[in-house]
Amino acid sequence: MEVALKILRFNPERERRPWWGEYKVEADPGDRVLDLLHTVKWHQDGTLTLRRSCAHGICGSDAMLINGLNRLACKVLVRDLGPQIVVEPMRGFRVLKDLVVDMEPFFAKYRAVRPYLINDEPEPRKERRQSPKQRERFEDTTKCILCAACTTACPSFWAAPDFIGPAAIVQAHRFIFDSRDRGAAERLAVLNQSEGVWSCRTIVNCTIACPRDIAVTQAINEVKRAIVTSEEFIPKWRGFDMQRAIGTAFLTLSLGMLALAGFMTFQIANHILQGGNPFDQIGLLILAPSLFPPAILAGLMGLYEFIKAER
Amino acid sequence: MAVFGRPRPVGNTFELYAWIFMRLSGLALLFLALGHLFIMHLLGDETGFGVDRVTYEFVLGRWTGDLGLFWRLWDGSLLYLAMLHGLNGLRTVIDDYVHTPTLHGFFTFLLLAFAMAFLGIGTITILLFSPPT
Repeated sequence: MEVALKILRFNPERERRPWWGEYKVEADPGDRVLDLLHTVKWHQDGTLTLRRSCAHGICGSDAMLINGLNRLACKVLVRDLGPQIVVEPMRGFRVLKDLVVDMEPFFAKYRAVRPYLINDEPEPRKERRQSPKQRERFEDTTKCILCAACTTACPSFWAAPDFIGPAAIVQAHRFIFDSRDRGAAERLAVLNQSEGVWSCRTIVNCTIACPRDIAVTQAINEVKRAIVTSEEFIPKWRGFDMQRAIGTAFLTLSLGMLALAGFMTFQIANHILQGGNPFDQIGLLILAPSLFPPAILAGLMGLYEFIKAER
Repeated sequence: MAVFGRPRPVGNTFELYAWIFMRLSGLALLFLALGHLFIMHLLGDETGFGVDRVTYEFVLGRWTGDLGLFWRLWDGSLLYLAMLHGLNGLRTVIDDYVHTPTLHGFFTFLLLAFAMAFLGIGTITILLFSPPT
């Protein structure tokens, strides 16, 4: 099949603004976008510049904006995109040339969370042991290949380039929840700033963008939660416990909604008993039953918080 | 007077508390606002149905009746939580999109002035309102 390939080209040394390069490429449906880019570079226009290294989805070099979504060019197949393919560099970084962007700010943020084992305790005679369950806690975030697809898909990052970004938080998560590591407080202090996790607005673009299927937004929220429940930041006065406070709030909400729903049901019943048509009160008829599921959900969440606080 | 047995947290914890506030006030507002909607727009009695029966007398009756304190507390919490919840949301929008220090300061000040004015008017009304004699 013939693919119409559009690539956003830009050479900042020679050109004043980016332009669209259009190429016709003969491709097999099983080809990857990277193969198309190779075809263009090797046979049509040698000046096309891109980054790629392993070409097998593990080095994280060739993340780019393909048909509007951040993906790895070496992982996405032509048959999943159709005959028209648009390729742009990742958003939010300075373009060095064509599809190559300046990743230095990205790696500076990566270094800021100290992405290595911190443990000053004397070394054990053999290895630092870890149970499968302890390892499971951070399994998901070990899969990160630092391709920057998540960070450059994040509207908070586009709006505020100082935001540390999902990738750095994922890397911090990988060590914060590692039972062998002792540097959690240091990393949480870095992330407990407005440019840290609190710039995250839970937009979930990062999770959609991740080529390694990491639940990025979930990892970020786990880090937020670790900060909220950490004694480093919120002192425990006289047994005040954040987890129990959240649990109490949920239970109160649940009881409140149940009372409200009960009262509405009572109103409807009263109306019917007095010989009224229940559909007169259509608002109540809709609202009363629809309040029960969220009430039960809030109650369960409250109980869950308490059970977690007990353990 | 050392109350806490550990050093004070380093750095600014404002964002952290703002985040917790958003979650807790959001939960409370779900209950307060839904209840408000239910009482003002859905509940009916002999004088009418839903919003039709909400008049000056209706509010007067609620605020000065036996449960006056309860309703004033309800409306007060609704005012404070909704106002601060909404304005804190706007503050994060300003943080995200206004990067010029002068403009950032100006908008934040505007927001604060707005909040003070409306919270002030609301507080005066809720605390000092008394039925005309």
